[in-house]
Amino acid sequence: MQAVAFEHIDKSFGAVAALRDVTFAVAAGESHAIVGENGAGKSTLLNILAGSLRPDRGQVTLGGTPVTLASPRDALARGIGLVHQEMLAFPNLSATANIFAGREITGRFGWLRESEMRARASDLLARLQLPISPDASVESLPVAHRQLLQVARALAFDCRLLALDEPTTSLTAAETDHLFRVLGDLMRAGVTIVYVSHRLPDVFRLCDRITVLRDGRLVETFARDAVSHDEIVRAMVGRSIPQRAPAPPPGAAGEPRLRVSGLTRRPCFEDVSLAIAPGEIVGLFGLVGSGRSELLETLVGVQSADRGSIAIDGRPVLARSPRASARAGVVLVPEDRQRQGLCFNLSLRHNLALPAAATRGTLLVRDAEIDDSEALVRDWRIAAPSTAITPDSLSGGNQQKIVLAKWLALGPRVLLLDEPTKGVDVAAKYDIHGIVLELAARGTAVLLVSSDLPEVLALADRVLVMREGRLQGELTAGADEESVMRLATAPLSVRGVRLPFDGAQGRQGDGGTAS
Amino acid sequence: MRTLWRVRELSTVAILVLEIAFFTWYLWPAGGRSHPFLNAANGLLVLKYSSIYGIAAVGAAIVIICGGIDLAPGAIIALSGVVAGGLFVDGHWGLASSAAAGLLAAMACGLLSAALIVLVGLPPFIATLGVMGIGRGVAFIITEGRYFDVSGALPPGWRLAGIPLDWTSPILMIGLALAFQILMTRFQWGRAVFAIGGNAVAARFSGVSVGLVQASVYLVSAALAGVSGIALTVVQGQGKADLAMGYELDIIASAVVGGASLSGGRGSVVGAVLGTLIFGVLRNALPQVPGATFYDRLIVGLVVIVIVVMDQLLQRRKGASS
Amino acid sequence: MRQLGIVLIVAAIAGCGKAPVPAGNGAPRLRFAVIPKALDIPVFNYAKVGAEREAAARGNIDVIWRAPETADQLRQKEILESFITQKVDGIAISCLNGDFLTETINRAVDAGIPVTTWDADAPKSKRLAFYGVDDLAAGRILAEQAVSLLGGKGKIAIITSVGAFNLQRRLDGVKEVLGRHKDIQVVEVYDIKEDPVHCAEIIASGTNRYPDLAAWIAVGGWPVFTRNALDAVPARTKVISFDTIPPAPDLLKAGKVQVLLGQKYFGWGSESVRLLADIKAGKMPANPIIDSGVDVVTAANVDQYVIGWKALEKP
Repeated sequence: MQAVAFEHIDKSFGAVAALRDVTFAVAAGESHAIVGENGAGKSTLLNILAGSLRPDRGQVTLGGTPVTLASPRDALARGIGLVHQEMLAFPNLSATANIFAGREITGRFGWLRESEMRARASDLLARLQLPISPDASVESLPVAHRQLLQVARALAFDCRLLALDEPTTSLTAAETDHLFRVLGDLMRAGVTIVYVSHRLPDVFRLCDRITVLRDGRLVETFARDAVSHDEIVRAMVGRSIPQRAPAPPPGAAGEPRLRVSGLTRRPCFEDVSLAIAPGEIVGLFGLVGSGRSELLETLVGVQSADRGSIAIDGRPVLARSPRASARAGVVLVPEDRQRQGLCFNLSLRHNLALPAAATRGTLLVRDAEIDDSEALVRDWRIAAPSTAITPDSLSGGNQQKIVLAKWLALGPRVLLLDEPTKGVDVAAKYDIHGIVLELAARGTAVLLVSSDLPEVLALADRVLVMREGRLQGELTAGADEESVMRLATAPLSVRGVRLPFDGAQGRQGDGGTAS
Repeated sequence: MRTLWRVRELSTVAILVLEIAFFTWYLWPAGGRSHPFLNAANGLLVLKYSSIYGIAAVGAAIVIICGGIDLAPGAIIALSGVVAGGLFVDGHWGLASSAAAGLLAAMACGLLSAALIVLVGLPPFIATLGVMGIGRGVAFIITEGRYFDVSGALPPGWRLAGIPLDWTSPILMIGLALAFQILMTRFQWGRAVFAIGGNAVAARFSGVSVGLVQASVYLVSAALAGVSGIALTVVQGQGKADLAMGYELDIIASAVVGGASLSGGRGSVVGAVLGTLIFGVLRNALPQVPGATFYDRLIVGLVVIVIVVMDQLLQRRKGASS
Repeated sequence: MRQLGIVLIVAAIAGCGKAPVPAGNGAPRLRFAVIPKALDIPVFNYAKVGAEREAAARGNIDVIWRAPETADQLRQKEILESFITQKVDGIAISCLNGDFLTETINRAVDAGIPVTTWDADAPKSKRLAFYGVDDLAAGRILAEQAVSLLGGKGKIAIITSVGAFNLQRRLDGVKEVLGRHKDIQVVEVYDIKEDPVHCAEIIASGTNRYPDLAAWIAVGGWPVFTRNALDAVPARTKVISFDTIPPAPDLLKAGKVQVLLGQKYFGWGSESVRLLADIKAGKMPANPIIDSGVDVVTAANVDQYVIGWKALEKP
């Protein structure tokens, strides 16, 4: 029995063909992954499934019958639920209102049946093991809870097919576990899962079959048990990507490039001390809320520290502002490229030129800027039709390359990276990794913050672990995921055992069960 | 009790009560004269003049909650009054049909705003700015600088359904505020308005007819401004094109003081009316403070800033602590 | 938290208040509200000076000077009504629109508060007295001065502001006199909406439009309220304007304007206070319409006029 089948689907946006003759089927009750590089057409396919786009040619069939999904409402009515990649939550409404938005339970003239909705919401929240009240204001919820709320939304109406678009990008490992548990429960209850993700380990963990798209065409549909990680990657990228071995650690050579002593900023982190030699890549791992991003922001001057000191090549540096830090040779590639990394109203070439111009204090816009930016785009293999367009039409991976490129144009001595490959497709991710390794080989000191444990372990020479604002310990290269995780979730000396799931916002009472 | 305090309207009521208490104390008359501020006639005065803004502020709050903004209310108040007044006085229509025609004129303006914003895609600020000019202009063209003497055409001591004329506008204001408060909080349409204001993209993906709902809020805002204008004409007795000049800013300020956030998704209709009363009391009491003649605008400006800043701080504290 | 902020702000204005002056001679203190058309019309500042001087001289009167910031009829009506509920002892008002305020004035009088008008009347109301110029006669004088300057022929443009009754009457007077001279042609009547800046714009654009204009007649003093509104006017075009408040006399001495008609600005205030005080003491005015008369100021008598002005201006 087929839950949904796509037959010869074509979809173009103007001159760009997003999908070409895509045909495959998803069996009822299975979990089916769709993977591919960015631009491969995954999101377009999902949007067609969810009813927000209509195919130019081809047919979608549900349970064997051809259907036309005219609108999101239509798809919802047919039992197709979609959990979007962008957070489509209403920050100003309660959890219940979010779950029922657009499809409220109403009486005459649209009178809202609040108590009924509340009761249904309570049930759903319990079923998903979400420890929040149906009246909770969504604005104050952490990202992981908001994501699960989206799942609750999809489930609120007899959903037979649940499609998820990159659901784990903002989740920690423990939160991902929780989500997968929920999805497992759903599968056992007969719900079909369609799962789109960049994270191949997750895909292999959850899904029965994997469909690979490339450049809008279907490459092949594999059974999970019959295929390897590398074969999938080859299918996605069309070429073999060798796993890069980490560069050998450089010999100890005098003064560390970056030395941090006793840095404190309450309430985010306390008494952090570390040293990074030139050419060394140090990974910083921790769960959400451990203070890693705040540490990086303080190092680069976005916020000022209460106590402690920072020294570059032995000279003390006062990180008063990102501009001052950039002049001292310390740059940060921030976590949230949407809000902190790029100016979406400016063209690519302006974005690329901005830090260089700002820190050098140039008054006029140079003509050479155009050539410089085009050279950067070429060197970094950024897929953009020209440097005059704005970043919003680029894929996540290409956007991240722009953010990196603009900072590296300054030739920094210390590079701070905060989740550099979040939301980035496989090929771009490997490109970025290659660049980081190359930079380190040329002598730049790198501090890498990432929730992607394999990434940290692949790139870093040493791994520091942070928990609740303090450095818990250090592991050398060659450590395995388990030992890092153990440090990151170990009980603190002062407090009792904390459940990893609510570790971040642990101050509110636990409602969760032991994982 | 803590959660009750979180209800935004209650803190607005608290400000109003405090304001009244302050002026009652400060303006306490010397020498046994009657209290100039705290008396029934003065209270009615405040209500009467605040309701010009208040009825329109109900509509303004709804538009702001939906994520938009409406600059046309002042012009619509004038236009609907002129149309109703003209038909009643010069055209010798009945009062009810003149009022209906005035309301239609107002809704025509609302329809224009809606079309410009939803169909053409203009930013609401620009679209309603244009409609404001058109509405005011049409009113001037109709009157050619004169006015329609409505009070002359009504029998003296005339009452609307037995209610004395002075009470008409306040009762309309309170009634409409309550009605729309229920619509906004208990009906699907209101929920859709909040949703669109909170995240228009998500609303569309959730199946809400975003365009229809957006159009409806501008129609509602215009209709309410029309009601205010017709009430103004009947109560004050004249249909004039230059009434309510610049009132849209006070109307928006009232909505904001009452809890509406200009970034959309938050606000309250009842709060907006309370906001107009806060300003109305200020406008009524300040003239009675000796020496404060030229300090009006300064004080009103300061009050708006203080209230909004306090609100921001409260919101931030609420967000951080949960 | 927010309540504290409000209290602080309002307490700050409390500091602005002046303590009421204790009565000197044991007579009860009277509170008179004197309401001009708006706070931003410069002519009325002198009325305030006159009113306060008269009040100080009498010793037992407090003048409450109150008006909307700009000409807004609704706000003026609101202010009038609030003085009724405050039960002041007397009201003297210059009406933005007399008919609009008629019913409210009647309510005040019925409630026992004497009301007089000044500068702009509400003729259909129960007001007890009006002190101001006879606008019709003043308009006629304006026009007659213009006719004699022009030798009886030429093109004239008129500047007015639509809405106020007194301005309308002046306009009627001007048109009546000009209508009698066949060789005088009124090319346009401009409405500048009580805005002196707009007036300057109109004069500039009007001069462009009618290069052979013989004279400008202004039934209100907007062209002479600022120093440069008349810059666009060429030497051959005459200007005959209402109002003599500064900087008008300087403009006349510089030759930018030929004739000015002055009202009794200080008198608006002082006479109104005097009238109200008399009424409260039981003395009704013999004639409710009190013509203050106008001063015709030309190059011949401007210096004396300015000396007289400075004497009145001293508190």
